[in-house]
Amino acid sequence: MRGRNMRIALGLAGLIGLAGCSQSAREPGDFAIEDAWARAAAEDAPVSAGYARIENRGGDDRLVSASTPVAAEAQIHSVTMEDGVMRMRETEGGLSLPGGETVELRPGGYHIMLMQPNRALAEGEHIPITLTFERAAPVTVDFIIRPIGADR
Amino acid sequence: MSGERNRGLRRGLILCAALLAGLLGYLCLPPYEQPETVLDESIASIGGPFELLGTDGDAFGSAELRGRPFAIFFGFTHCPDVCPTTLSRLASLRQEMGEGGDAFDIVFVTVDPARDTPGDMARYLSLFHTPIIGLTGSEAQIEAVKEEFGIYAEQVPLGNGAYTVDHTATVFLMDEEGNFFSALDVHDRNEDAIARLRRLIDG
Repeated sequence: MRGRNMRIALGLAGLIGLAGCSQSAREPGDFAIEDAWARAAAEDAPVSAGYARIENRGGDDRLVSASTPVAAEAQIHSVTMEDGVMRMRETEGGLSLPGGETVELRPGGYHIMLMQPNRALAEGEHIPITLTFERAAPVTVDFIIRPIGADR
Repeated sequence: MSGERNRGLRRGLILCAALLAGLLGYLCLPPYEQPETVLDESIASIGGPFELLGTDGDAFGSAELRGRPFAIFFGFTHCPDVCPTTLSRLASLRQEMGEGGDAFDIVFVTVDPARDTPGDMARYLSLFHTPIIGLTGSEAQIEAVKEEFGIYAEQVPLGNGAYTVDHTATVFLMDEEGNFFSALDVHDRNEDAIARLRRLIDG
């Protein structure tokens, strides 16, 4: 009886161990991308910015680049505010997306800067932005256009 | 002979002492700091007369702002994040204030005159659904107004010939005489910002 209990306990421990293993070796590519939006832009406007909440349900990954048919180039930027001075920089090596965590691109933090949109971006329309990751396959997400001054 | 040597030695010692004193003095100087934005004794000197260009391309001088308080913010149209958010916040604070909200002007001055023409400023500001006075000018005119308001601005390359501009993003509140009254910061709570704007327009 005691031996059987021991075997069950060992088996359970093994299962838990296996679960732990699969946890740490999760496959990339399981993203839930929500609340994706970008700023409205006038005709010939030089820039827009895209934001989203990226939940990484898979293993550690990085957002390394982005592209969209509506802009000449897209860069992943961070914004910091220190002593009243705003600084914007391209993230080096992209944006880290740790497995099991949610990273939010939002005003005053990270954004995807859309450089030289090739047309006006009107409130309410959707634009596709393709996100390229270090490990996972690229994903194309619909971003809704919100007012230029939206803060979320 | 030995007297001459002593004199030489003394001169050498004096020179050493002077150099040492100079070095000490240099080391004791306060370290170089980035130009202050707000909250120091230079605050009272923020603001001053300027000559710039309006969104219609015509001259626009600080005299045209006299008689009404204003909130002034420096930025540029290639700024995708902080500039639109700040301008929009000013617009919504004005709206939230309801009565009296239109008793102050919102002024947006570019720190990127090389790219921001009056037309660019007009198109950009037209998206904010509230009247905003957009100002650009020659490099020299913008340098002068930046100095008046103690604005730090520096171009930083973004690759492919593109660049961004690090810049002071504080909103200065100026009274109807054009004198510094207070400042707004991104971290201010809405009710605090509104209280300050009310004090500004109540004079």
